[in-house]
Amino acid sequence: MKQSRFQISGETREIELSPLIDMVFILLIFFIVTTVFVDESGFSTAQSRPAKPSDDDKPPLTFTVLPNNVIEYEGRPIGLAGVAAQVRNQPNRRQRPVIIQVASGGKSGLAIQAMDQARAAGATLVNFAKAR
Amino acid sequence: MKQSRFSQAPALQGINVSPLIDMVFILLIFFIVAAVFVEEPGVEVRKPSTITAEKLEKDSILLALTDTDDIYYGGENIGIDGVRPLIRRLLRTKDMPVILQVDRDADGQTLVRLIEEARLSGGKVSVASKLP
Repeated sequence: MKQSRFQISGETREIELSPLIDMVFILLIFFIVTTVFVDESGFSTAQSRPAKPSDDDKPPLTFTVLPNNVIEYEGRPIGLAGVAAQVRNQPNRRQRPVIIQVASGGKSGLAIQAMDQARAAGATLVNFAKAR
Repeated sequence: MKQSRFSQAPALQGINVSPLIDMVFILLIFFIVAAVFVEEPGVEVRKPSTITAEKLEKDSILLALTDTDDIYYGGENIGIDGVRPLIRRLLRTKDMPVILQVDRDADGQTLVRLIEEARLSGGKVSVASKLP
């Protein structure tokens, strides 16, 4: 007796799963390979400026980052710890803006650490600037 | 006749693959959900260590500033002039913060300029650092 090929063992046939599993594995490997787990820590430089910049009684504390890992405040070299100490000495340090000035040749690592020290000491308005 | 349950129709029994497929599907869905398609800068930088670092957003524009003062995005050296058009273009599709991976030996004035450029393009700029 002739049988249609669509009716061969129609009752016992199961769905072929292997291609599905293959495809799912390929997708899985693709996503494993392309997944990038970005895990950065750091701080925001988007410091809001004071509402009234013309507060003449609160001039910004300006630290200058010079070459050879030197930080100056009012012409005197102070260390990284000196930045924190200077900020902490201000009675109104939360409102007092701090400017990290970078002179030509100053390293960015030191500038970032100076900003970090100022923030750790309680300053909230810390900005970078180029020294003229 | 009593039969051991381990010897029932041993020739017809295949391995049950359903749990395997379930597990693979769960893994697949995990990786699809976890996948963040972020272009990594593709260069190695030595980040400065800071004490006030906080977690930064995962979905972001990652730019690297190397110790040779080159700016990298997605494995390409784009230069300081390429920063503004790049960030403008990326922000047009989606609002993302900009994360700068800065080498500690990079020039500080280039960093200041880079922050200015990124901020002028409308990005919220953060600097990546590592916790000590």
